[in-house]
Amino acid sequence: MFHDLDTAVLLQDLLKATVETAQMTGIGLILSLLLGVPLGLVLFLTGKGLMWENRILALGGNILVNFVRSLPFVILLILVLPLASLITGRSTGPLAASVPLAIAAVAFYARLVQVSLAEVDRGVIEAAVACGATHWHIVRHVLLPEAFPGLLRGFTVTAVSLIGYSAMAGVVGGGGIGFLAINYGYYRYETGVMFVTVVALVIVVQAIQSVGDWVADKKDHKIRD
Amino acid sequence: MIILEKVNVKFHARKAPDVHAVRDVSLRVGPGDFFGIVGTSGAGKSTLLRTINYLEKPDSGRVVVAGQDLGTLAPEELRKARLHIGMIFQHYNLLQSKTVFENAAFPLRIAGVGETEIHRRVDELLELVELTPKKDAFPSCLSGGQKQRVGIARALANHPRVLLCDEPTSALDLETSSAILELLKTINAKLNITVVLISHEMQVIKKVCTRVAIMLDGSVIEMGSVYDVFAEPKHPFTVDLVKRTQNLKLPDRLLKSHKGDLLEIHYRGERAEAPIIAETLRRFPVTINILHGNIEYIGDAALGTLMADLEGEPVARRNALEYLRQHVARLELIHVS
Repeated sequence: MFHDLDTAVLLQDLLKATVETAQMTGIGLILSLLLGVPLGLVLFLTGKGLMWENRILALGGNILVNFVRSLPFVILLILVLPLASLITGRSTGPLAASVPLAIAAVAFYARLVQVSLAEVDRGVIEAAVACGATHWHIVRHVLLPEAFPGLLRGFTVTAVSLIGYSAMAGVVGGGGIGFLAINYGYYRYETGVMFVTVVALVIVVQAIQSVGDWVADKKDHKIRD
Repeated sequence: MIILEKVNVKFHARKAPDVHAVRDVSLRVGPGDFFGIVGTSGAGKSTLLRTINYLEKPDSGRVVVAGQDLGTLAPEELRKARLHIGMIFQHYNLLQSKTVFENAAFPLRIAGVGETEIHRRVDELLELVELTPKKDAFPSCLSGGQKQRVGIARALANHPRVLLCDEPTSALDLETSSAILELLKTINAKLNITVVLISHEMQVIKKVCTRVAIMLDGSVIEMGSVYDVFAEPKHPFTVDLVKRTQNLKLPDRLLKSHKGDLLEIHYRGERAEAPIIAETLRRFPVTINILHGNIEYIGDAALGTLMADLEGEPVARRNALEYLRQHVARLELIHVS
């Protein structure tokens, strides 16, 4: 099945690639939580009729997010290469690749956060204001918990997209499963390897999506009428 | 307890004329009052209510609650003032991601109350609104009436002196609505909390309020005790509103076929309970045929309306009418034979 390739070597490569993928998407996901959620909150709260209503900030945030999201990922990858090597000190490898991945993920997730927050009933926010809640209380006790199932579903979508993007990160020598599939399976005509990597990716994506959906459903107490 | 002075609220819309939602409204609500504001939808009553906790900032005028002029407060002071102004809503506005307990605990948490005190107070509140068994349920598992009870528990958490009710029973069926109104009445009486309730239904106002303001197109057109407004409505809009509530309408068939004078008799207070009709019949050679009528009790006081057909010789009829007029609150001749 694997022609003249040594199975042990292949397994080793697959393991290494998996670790690299996990590294790249992991860093991207952590940063999308740390930066994407606050950015999403800012996008939402500076919107019309909300606590921090500010047209300039809202417009600026929107343009920034739209700009990042409109760039094809491969272009973004190359564009931020100098930045990546500046931050991480290297221009290849999973660490360097995680910089453009994180930028794409933050912009993507921020938009999904904004959409989830917009779903929160304005009446509930108003009730909190009437109770004497501070802005922080509203974010902490109303917006985030009420939007939690949506935030989690968005996070799952972001994670799956990131795995897809991480394959393209092979362009900067980022490595990872996707890179393995292209290198061995496509360039070296090792259909078997490609098959194995694709199966591995399918399983990972299915697992992430299922766990995400399961938790989101469990936490979802929304009244549907 | 609440003083509104010349309050105006305008909504500015682009490409459309401004909407003057509240016009020059001045009113006073005393401590312990159960004050109703009634009007059709779009009359501005909801906007007016929202100025009392400054959810809606008036364009001009003064709002004073418990001695504090809300317009002069800094944001942080206003926030603290709101801790003591409870509010309930037509659509309950509960946190769907939190249990009944956590919803009622919300105002306590934001007021920085300690965990043991939160537990003690929430248990007390749930006891009051009779929702203890549902403590750990989520709002999605509650009926409308139960959700409003959670809303009430939340509104009362920080011992407010004022409770604002924005159409609290409009989404509920008649029976549940009555139960919620009873609960509000108990809260008003026992906890001595001043309540302001808005509704588009006179029935709701009649059941619980002691004083009422009637709103039309952003202005208060009439104000007084619920009894007086019901007994002697002055503005044509109020007259109409009261008539509709009493539902004293004769079928056309009766209007055409009656033989004598058609009277509408209004009684007030003790007189509503006195046998005036019987006395008239005893004194004058007339017959009185009662076509429609009811006696309502607003609080303790009776308010009666009768529609009757008066028959007899012209002189006897005139004397009987004169006697009746002297002994009832108001007499209207609807049709003279």
